[in-house]
Amino acid sequence: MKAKLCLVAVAALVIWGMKRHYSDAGADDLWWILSPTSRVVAAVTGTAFVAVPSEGFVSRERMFVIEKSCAGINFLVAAFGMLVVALLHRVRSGVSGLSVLAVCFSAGYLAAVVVNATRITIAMWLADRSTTLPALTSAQVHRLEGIAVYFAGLVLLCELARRVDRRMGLIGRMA
Amino acid sequence: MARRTRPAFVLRHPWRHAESSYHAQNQCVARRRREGWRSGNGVALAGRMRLRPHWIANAVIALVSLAPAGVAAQEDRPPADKTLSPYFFVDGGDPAVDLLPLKDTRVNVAITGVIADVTVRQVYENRGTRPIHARYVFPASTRAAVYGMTMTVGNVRIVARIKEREKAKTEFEAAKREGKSASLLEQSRPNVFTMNVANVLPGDTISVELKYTELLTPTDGVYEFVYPTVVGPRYSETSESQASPEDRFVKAPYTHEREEPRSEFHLAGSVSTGVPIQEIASSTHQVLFRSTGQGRSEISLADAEQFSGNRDFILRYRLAGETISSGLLLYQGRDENFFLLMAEPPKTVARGDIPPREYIFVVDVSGSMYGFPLDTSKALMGDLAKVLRPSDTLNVVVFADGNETFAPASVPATSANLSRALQFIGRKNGGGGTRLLEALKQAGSVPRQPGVSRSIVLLTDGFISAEAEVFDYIRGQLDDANFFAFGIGSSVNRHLIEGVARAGLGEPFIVTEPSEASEAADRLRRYIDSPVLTGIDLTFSGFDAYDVEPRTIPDLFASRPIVVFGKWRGAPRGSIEISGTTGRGIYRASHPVAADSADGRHAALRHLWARTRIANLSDFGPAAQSEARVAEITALGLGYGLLTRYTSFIAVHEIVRRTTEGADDVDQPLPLPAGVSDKAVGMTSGFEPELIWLAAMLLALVGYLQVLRVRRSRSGAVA
Repeated sequence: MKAKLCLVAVAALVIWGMKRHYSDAGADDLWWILSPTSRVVAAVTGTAFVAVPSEGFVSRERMFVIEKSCAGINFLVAAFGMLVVALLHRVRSGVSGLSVLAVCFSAGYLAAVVVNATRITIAMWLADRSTTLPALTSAQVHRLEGIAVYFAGLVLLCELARRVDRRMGLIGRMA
Repeated sequence: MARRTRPAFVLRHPWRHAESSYHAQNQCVARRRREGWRSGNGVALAGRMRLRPHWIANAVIALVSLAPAGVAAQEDRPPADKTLSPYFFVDGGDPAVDLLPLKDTRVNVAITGVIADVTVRQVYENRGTRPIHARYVFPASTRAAVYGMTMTVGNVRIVARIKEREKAKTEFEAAKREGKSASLLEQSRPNVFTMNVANVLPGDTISVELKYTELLTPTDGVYEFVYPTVVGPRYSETSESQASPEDRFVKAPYTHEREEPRSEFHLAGSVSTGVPIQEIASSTHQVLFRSTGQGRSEISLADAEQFSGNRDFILRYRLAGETISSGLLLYQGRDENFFLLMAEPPKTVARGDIPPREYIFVVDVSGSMYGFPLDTSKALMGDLAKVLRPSDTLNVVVFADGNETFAPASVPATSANLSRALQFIGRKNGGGGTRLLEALKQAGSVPRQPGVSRSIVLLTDGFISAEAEVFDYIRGQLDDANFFAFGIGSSVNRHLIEGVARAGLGEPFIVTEPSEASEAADRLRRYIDSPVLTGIDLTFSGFDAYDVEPRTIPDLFASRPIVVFGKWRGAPRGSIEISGTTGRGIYRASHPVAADSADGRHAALRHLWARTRIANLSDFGPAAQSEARVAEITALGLGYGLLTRYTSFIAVHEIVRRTTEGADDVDQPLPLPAGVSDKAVGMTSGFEPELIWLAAMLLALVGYLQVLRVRRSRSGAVA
């Protein structure tokens, strides 16, 4: 119980740290997540993105910028938090707690890059077509698209975590 | 026994012990429910209630995730230095702040002869509950001589004074700090102004009225009055920290494409020509016309045009018999006298021996041209291609962020090459920035053919902020080429289009829709082949004229009057002679100066002369202004009471009206010009949903899983 509470406390600290970093950071400070995200988007869309200091990754050809507000930190926070809660039962000691923390952060980071890149790719596709819906501006369409992709991403991540967790449990029991 | 179908989706709580089988888990859940949550790891809270670790984790992590990050933010972090660019207006936010302070723009036009006198009244209201300082960027005609401003707060009317720009700004900032209502009108470009209104209190209505005058010059017998209603979004590569005060208008909020303007637009007025009007119409707005006598008509916008402030208002009229108002106007002032000569041009003579020319078309395919403007541009290119002769050569440079040239060297204008060139342009869809200067340099670097005159024809909406650098470059290329500019779209940057033509000794054309393309293409060909008058010279006999503007008169391509402003002293007598060369030979015309040409109603000549002089010194002048030139423009602005890039109008209500601390700065959002897409507003950013949405998603997810779990446990218990 103590180890679990410690993990929750550390996870909360990590989330707070990420949020603090995000609120203070410029695009240059978020290179660690903007760079891989823009690479995935570039690979999928075939669009060249150029790193512009203090702005982010810019495609002048498509007039699109992957900047601070598109970094995917919000998704990372949500995914990390969800994974910690999902895998909390695995914590038995300090060591296992640290392992869970590392797994949650790595998986959350990977998921944030993939899901956010998917969201941005669809957003670019919509922007190219200047998509609007009745009674919705293109900004609202963009927000809706983001919510839908993120929700789908969280559901998939949740399901994936559950399956992996179950499989690991079975393996552990067999051992 | 019926087989239970395993659901495709997660039915179990994700953090349930993974090793339990589906059936076992059902039993486990049911047992736990029966046991009243007494088993498992938990912290006793009060008797039967226990907190499970995942509840604690949920609560803690949710709280930390949703807590505002701003509390941890370092307030002293310097803001990132970004490129100056327009951005999208975000509606909503704090309901206490009125984000749309400009409610109404009312324009009154009085056209008498060749002079238009325009009064623009902007009404600002604050329907919020906090005081605001409003800023509004708006356009005007490139030839507007703004000579007066008043501000009305309640029943108090304050006449604005003209001051040096910096002094006016300082005075305005002081009034703003002290809680006094004030307004400041600054020039950002000759056709772009910025109105600042400080301390608009909740419930306030403040109206600001400005007056300007302009000369209407007919082309091919058609008079045109243009009232631009919106400033298009400008492409800039200047960083915010290095931007001059004149450039800051670029950073303005825009609403999205196809959104209606957020403030009302009304226009009314009269046209009085003295000669019967043969035809009067507006191709841009629904206008109601009412004839009030011979050569007099009243105009007003139809009610349906209440929110039509997203495109230029263009009124065209033609006088009976294709006549144009020409002759000499004199004004005898207290200290100075002014004259205006509008000399009817000679008839165009088509030349038989037209030498071959090289045409290089420089076509804008940037984001702001996406859709309707680029379609219009392509239609125009098709028409321009038709007027070329096989003996001509052509090339095409398309540009956005970069540029691409159709052929390394210009190719003969054969039908096969024309078709290929049109296909080359046809593949472009519009996207990216607007690096015009680099494209013009690229066009200039195309290898020349000896003995062939070169014309560079620009097709663009002109939505850039580096106009002066473009004019500088063109002036440096005058030995090599003439420049002609086509402004494409519903609200083009006329300053750039007219400036390119003026600096390049060519002609400007505006094409607002594809149906105008064909006629514009014909005119270009006609103008280039057969200039109306070249080598124009002006001599004064017995008439003591001085400070004449323009100092040298450029070749006249289009059939329009030669316009000369100046001052005079002594008696109004003698004559003004214009000479030049037409297709037939030497041309001479003498215009007698008669005392009865002087009229007190010609007082506008004073402002128009000063505005013309300022335009020649400043509007299309070099990007870097010398100190002497700055001083001269400032003196003209102060002396003649005109708005210039170095003089501003300021009005201060000398009563402290805001006694509470603080007020919000509000930039009035501008509509995108009709037909312009969202791609014109800088970069699209793929911002992610806010954390509150993610929290809602997680809650929905957890809630859904819980519902399923409860249902399953119930069905398990029944089984």
